[in-house]
Amino acid sequence: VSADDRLKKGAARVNAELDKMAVPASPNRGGSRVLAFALGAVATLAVIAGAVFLIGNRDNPDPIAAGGTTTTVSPDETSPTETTVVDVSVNYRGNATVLDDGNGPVLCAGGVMESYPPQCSGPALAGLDWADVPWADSASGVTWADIYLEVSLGEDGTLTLWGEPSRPGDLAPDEDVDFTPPCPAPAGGWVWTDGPKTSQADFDGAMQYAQSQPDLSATWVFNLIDDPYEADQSGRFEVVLVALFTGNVAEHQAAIEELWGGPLCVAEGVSNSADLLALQDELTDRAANGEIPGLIGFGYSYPDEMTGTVVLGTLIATDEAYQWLEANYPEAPVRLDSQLQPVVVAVPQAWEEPANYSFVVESTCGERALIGVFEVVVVEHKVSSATGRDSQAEAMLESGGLVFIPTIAEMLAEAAAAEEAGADEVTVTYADDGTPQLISIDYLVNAIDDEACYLISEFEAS
Amino acid sequence: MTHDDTPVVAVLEPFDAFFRREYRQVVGLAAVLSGSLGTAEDLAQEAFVATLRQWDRVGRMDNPGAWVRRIVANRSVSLFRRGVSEVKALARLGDDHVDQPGLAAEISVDVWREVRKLPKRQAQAIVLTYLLDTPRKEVAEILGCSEETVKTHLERGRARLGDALADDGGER
Repeated sequence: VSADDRLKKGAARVNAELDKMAVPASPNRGGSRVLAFALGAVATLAVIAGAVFLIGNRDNPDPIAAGGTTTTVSPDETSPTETTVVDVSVNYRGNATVLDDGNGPVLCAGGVMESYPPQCSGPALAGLDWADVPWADSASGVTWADIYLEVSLGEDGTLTLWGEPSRPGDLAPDEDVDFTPPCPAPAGGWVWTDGPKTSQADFDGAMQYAQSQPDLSATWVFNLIDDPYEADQSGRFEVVLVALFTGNVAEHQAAIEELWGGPLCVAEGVSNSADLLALQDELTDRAANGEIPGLIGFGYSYPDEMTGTVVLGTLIATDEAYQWLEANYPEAPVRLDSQLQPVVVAVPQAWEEPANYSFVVESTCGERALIGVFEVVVVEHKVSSATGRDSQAEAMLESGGLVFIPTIAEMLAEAAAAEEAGADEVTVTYADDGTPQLISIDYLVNAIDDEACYLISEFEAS
Repeated sequence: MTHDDTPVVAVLEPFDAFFRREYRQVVGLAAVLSGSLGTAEDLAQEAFVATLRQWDRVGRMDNPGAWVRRIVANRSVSLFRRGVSEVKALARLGDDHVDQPGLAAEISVDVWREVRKLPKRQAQAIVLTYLLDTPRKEVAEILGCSEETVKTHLERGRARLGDALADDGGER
């Protein structure tokens, strides 16, 4: 018996049972599960459902009379729509290593152990099908791959793959750290000259002195032989000793010159090294204990003594993490290094809708009511009148389509709601004066005709 | 879909009619993919509530059914993979709010058990195609991939199923 037959037979039997099933009441009936936001939608529905310009041939075997009567549509009867647009940038995107040792895929946090097969740990990634990752490697029951992906973060902290995984993009090159000594270069530049007290032992002694000072800020070595391999092979030790302190620079310089005869740079540093290390220890402990909310897949930390910053490396840092740091360590120099970056898909800036204004909207995509170029007048946050600038718009308005024209605040609310409901792409751009300019929503990227896009111009508050 | 020059005013079907028309199929999709009737009902409710919240927009899409099926297909599989449905199903034994022992039995037969073991996309493509008789174009829309990809998922899924079902021999 083929799989095809078995499936058909199984489907027929399930469908026969489904036919017997009672359909419960629609959630449309004032259930407490319908969130506040839906109220606007339901009220709008009540108005539109009974309206006279329902054109088309949608199969509608069981219509209910919502409201039941023909409705004279005046803008006053459309529901008030929330004008506050919630910022809902919930997704995170970037390159990551995903590894599955048989217990399900995890996003590697804080690095991958380069054994074979590799090992790592991190938060679980739901929704990944390795069949979608043909470039994955596999050995000894472990499957892994570098993937450019986008994940959504659930309220319970679960990470779910969003869309299709793709091959990793070019990794951003590590930021070039400039190790050039922060002192004026001596005449002739930083060059090596053999002389007394220039052995590696002398250097170590000078370093030891620097690193035992309570006001140490940072030390490092600037290698005068560019190629570390050559330096290693030749046994030549040609370096500049760099030591930064938070004070007493001249005093420390004199002390170090007693110990080290080679090139030297002593200068004032940004912050106290011991303080920075203590801050690093404290933050690392708190992050590892899960005390910092919004750090997902905390992986590493380091003190960046050159800039006087503690860096916390994590897979994802949400706004919550930044807010927590702001509240709990307002003065501390902390930087969050987030591997995946938030995808700001909703509304990046607040725009306050004036009560009365006019604008021109061009609505071109999707198969929807609102197609054409409209001049719209808004009074008291409601569309009061509109004029078509092209024949499509005129035709729509003639057939009573005014009700389909949203205010700018309603367009933004639609964008926010679409984003919250998991639409594939939501874009809102703003003009220089802060007015929304383009609002574009694509619920399913690969579906045609489900898009909405509004191009706004000639905005004028009145 | 019409693509002539006249403007098309999309119809907003009453939500309740949509709900009544789609409910059984959506529950069926969730039940077969998750293996649990109780979970399937919860998922369907959740998906319809999410759809209702958006109805004045989703309702004007060319195919609002694809929207709700997409939500349910993805959620069913991820819940199943996490084992949640099984746990929930156990906890529910006795108070399952769907009094449909026949349906519960039908979704746990071999063929669906094996379908649930398939990679996510394959399982979704198969259930949409066989259970709901969804045209390939629409399956592609629901899964957010091309028709060609759907074809591949179907072929691979069927091949794997054939092997799995041959191994256990019997019809049911």
